[in-house]
Amino acid sequence: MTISKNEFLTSVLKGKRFDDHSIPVDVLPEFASYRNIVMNIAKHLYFQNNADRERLPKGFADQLKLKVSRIEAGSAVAVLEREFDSTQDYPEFEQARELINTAIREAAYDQNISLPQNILSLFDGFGKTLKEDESMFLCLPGQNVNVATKYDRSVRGKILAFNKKPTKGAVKVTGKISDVNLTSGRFEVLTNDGATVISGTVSSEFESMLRDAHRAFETDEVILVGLGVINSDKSIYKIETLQHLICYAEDGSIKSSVPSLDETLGKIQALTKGWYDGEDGEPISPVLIASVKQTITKLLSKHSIPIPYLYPTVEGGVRAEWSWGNWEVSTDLNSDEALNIHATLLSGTQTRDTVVENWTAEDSATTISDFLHDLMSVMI
Amino acid sequence: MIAIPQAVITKIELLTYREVHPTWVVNSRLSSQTFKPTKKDAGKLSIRNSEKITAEASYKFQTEKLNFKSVGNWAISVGEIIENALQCIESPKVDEPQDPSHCHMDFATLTGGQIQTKADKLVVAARNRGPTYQPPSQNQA
Repeated sequence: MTISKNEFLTSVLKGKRFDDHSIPVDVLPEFASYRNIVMNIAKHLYFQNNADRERLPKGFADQLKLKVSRIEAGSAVAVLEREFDSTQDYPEFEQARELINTAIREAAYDQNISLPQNILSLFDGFGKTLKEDESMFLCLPGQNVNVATKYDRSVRGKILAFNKKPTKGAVKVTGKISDVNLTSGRFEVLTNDGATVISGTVSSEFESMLRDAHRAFETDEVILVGLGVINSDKSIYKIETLQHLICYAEDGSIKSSVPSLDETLGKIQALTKGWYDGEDGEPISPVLIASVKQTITKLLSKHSIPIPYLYPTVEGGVRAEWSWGNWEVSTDLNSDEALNIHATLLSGTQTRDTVVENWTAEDSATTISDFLHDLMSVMI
Repeated sequence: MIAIPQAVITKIELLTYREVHPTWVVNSRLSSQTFKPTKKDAGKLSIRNSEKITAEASYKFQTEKLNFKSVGNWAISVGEIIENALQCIESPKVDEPQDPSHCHMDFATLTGGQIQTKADKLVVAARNRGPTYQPPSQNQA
């Protein structure tokens, strides 16, 4: 290990409180907030730059030890020094520093801010102690303050306001189909509280089922999962893509669903040896089909988890897949007791996995349901 | 058998076709298994270069020359392959039936989780683009 130090940032603080070339202790938390933002962007960049990595390398966080090494004159100038092991340095920290400055300039000029929304929320803690007449100039090493990026309360406000724009995520809605308009390609669902109407886009796979559910508005209830546009108050603005739909009759029985459990399992059960390419493709045993049906029915009846899309696997198993908002979730159900559920976030580098020790056991549906519900942004 | 020479294609807008088994499409939704190599593939997932074969010809080659089942083909671009830290490698088949359009993506060194993540992202790109060719009888699949 070779410990190195270099100047990471010079923060020039301007305003009445800094005229005596000192920094009030109240302002010091700003540097911890700044470090927090740098760290989170660096982690994000690391996964972006190393798509094959699932975890950060050991000691990654230790590579960003920031210290206020000295206070210089000229309003109040705080020099932040970075201490790191130069034998395993990561460029992501300096890239993160540049991205912060870029984001601040974008906000100042009312442009779209090119940082992920989860990072933007961290700006809530940065600049909090600055007063109306105060500003902080973030100078890169060797950069003159006159051309440095200026951060103040106004810019912080713009960043936080930008962060309140709608986001996209997985939504689950229970209610009744109150309208289907094929001309505009829209449907509406009235949620069970009777007070909220959410609109969505009709796609061909769901069209006839939506129309049937609309005709039976008085009696039929639906559960739908899709990619939703979500307001900052967590209300659903609209359903952009419908992914799973179940319609219940008045007596609580399943009237129809996309995808359909029985129809898909029937096709899978009919496959014979060599179904894939004449050689490969094991038949799927009736025992396995029965277990799959039982587990999926339990997921639906006890946990309101919509039916997954089911496909045969070449090895003789059944693959269950859910498109879950902006997540893709999959698992292979086969004669092994244990199963792994994998989820991939489509808009980033995040993945999640969980293992179910015995997927045919009574409590397995709870584990699967908890995993899927954790990925949900809003459920109504 | 895959023959040399093998070159990496870097033209990001180039589409590559992937033939899909009929059981891997349910309600028009393509399974992510489409972009996961099976054991027989030994980590190399076959695709076809759209500059060397049309989508219809790719389907016919799959079903008539190779006698494999296909419900049609879907496409991903070389750019999408590169975005997922994979490569589109030219690997023309010289044995009969010859296939000069044959390429592959190499998943051999990846873990199961990494393969699934890449398959998830590639299948969504293919789904969003829609089928590039389906025979008339399969258009309702």
